[in-house]
Amino acid sequence: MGKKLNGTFTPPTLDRIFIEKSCAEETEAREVVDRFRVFYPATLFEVVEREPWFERVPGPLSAGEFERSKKNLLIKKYPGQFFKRCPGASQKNTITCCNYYVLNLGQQCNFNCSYCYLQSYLNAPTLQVYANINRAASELRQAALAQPDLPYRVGTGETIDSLSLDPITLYSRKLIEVFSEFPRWSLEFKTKSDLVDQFLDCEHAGNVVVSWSINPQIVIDHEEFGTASLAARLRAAEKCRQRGFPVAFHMDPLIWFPGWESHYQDLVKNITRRFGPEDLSVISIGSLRFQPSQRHLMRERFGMKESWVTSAEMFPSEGGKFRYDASLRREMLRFVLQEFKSRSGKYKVFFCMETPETWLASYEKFPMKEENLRPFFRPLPSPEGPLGQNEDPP
Amino acid sequence: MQTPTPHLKSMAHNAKRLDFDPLGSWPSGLPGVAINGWIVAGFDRKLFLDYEVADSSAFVSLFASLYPHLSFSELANFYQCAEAYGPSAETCGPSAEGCDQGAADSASQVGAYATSTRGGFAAHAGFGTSISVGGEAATGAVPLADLLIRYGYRDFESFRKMARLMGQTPPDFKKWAARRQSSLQELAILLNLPIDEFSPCLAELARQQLTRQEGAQALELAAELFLLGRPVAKILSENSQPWLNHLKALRYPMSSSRDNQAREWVNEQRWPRQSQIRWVRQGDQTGLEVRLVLRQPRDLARGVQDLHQINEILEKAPRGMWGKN
Repeated sequence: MGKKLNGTFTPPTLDRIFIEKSCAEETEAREVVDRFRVFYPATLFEVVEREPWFERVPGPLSAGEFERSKKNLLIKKYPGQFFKRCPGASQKNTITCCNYYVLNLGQQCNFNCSYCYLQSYLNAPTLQVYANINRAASELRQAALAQPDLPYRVGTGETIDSLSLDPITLYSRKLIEVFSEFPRWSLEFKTKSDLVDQFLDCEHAGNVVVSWSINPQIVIDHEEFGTASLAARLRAAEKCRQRGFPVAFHMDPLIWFPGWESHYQDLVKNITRRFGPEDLSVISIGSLRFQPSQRHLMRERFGMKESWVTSAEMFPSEGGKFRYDASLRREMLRFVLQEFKSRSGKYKVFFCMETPETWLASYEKFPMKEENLRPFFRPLPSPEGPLGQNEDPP
Repeated sequence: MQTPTPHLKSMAHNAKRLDFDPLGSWPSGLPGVAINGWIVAGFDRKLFLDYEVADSSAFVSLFASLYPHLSFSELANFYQCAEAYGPSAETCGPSAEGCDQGAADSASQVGAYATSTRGGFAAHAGFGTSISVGGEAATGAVPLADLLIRYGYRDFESFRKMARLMGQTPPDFKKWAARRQSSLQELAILLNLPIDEFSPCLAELARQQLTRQEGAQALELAAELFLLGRPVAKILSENSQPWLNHLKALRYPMSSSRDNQAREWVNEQRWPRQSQIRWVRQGDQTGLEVRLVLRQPRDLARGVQDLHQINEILEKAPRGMWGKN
């Protein structure tokens, strides 16, 4: 901790920063509070006894509350279990799951993507950063000590972007240190930012994957507001590769729009020109999907005419989410898969949150039959007893 | 709780009538019912029984015994009627349609009606304490908050916004939504719409013989088409096909066109006589539904033959029918 930033970093605009009283008083929590104080004027800070707006009626956020929640930060201690199975694991009947674990160090996101699943997931009107990182690290250690030799994969980007606030919190440095003790385990930072400078000097065991959710620039312009450009994300990925960090890309969600084929083809070309199969630990592909409950919020926040997401032809699918027509979905997944495979059969490409039928129709086999992918899908025992599972999948 | 003894009174010209047009008709021969002077049932009667209750829970209990189930639309209308007695332009829109205009005369009697804001957020008023219409003292007020909670609405802000929007919708649509028991969630898309411009679609919806589920789907499709910039005239049915199909074809042009092509091809084929074949969509999946009815065991051999024949026909199907592969 205590790393100074070399590059330029513009902290996201915040209206208020609330600090849970216990965080203002304890050394561990004060460390991250003090980091925020470096970046924001004192007038924004307020120490609170209870969560702000605790009196609101529990339930989904309105569009206005959701917008405002991105600007009102709460630093608090997370009372629950940090380390959990990926929600995909709870839907094994409908999707093919890749054995992923998640470590949530906050919730909400300072970026603003039209399709973001947090719109159906969050019910607290603040962007939250959990200050008790040491307990998260200790939970991780406990789990890893129980199964140090099995290849568990853990990600921090499920309920918050892994790196968009990391130049302030520097949590990446702490986690890299923990994972250096367990080289068979791997950690994934998943981001739409280009903020990597804060951890590039860390000693690591080659098991910290830095991954980017990517889309053609035209989709970024249309649907992923406030995020880094495609070029910036790819430059950041190259920096990580130079420092020996494995890199991954998630072409997820694939979004249909007129002319999508040529834009996704260019994206694959762009990636494969700069990253060989040996540079990329994995490429995941997933098609647009969202919970029916979030469509009202999406319409209200992003309109219908301007967004390829809200205006898309979506249908209820098995498992309850809205998805594209199955044949279109297969066509899109197969197209992108073939674009990679035509350049090299060695790229490890898999489908994220897709049904077994889609795997068969697009890949022509299940992932366990694909040598490159088998390690991701091989069932693993629970590392630390029955782990909690998230209820709301992305 | 013991029901208080009512007093039989005659309707005064300035009676406070909360005529929210409930679906059920009040039994003939019975006088109307008022609670603390607020007429809540039998609005067309000359006589009414006025119950004086001491607190909001007794008010709610008595009201709920008259109307054990109310749809969102009816409750929204009730809210509008009560709000018409509200104290200020900020909390009170124009008088609700159908409500007694004596409301205006009684406006001076209106008591506290509070919502609060804190830290820039619209906070939800404390239910059971601060939202009431009609008088400062509990005995004189309509305890709206407690009533809403009784009917399962805890999020007052959402309810209020939606109730006010419902007030702007055509009367037939309100009735339709009441009959179909449409929920606040099913109607939530109205929040995104200029109701006056969209009204013809709501009126059309009320004219259609749709189930609750179909109606909810039609409303959402029509609203999305409107938000996508389709003129109302295009959204309204202009051909002989059912309105819901018309809306689906407009809202999902790519999928509909693919489905229609597949359906046409299926209809053009000479399928085995005993089979029923049709192209179906179930959510995001499409496919051919094949039905063979075996009336006796020996029909099985014929069924297998039919399947072979179906297979031969399917081999000639255009490749695009199953999606681009």
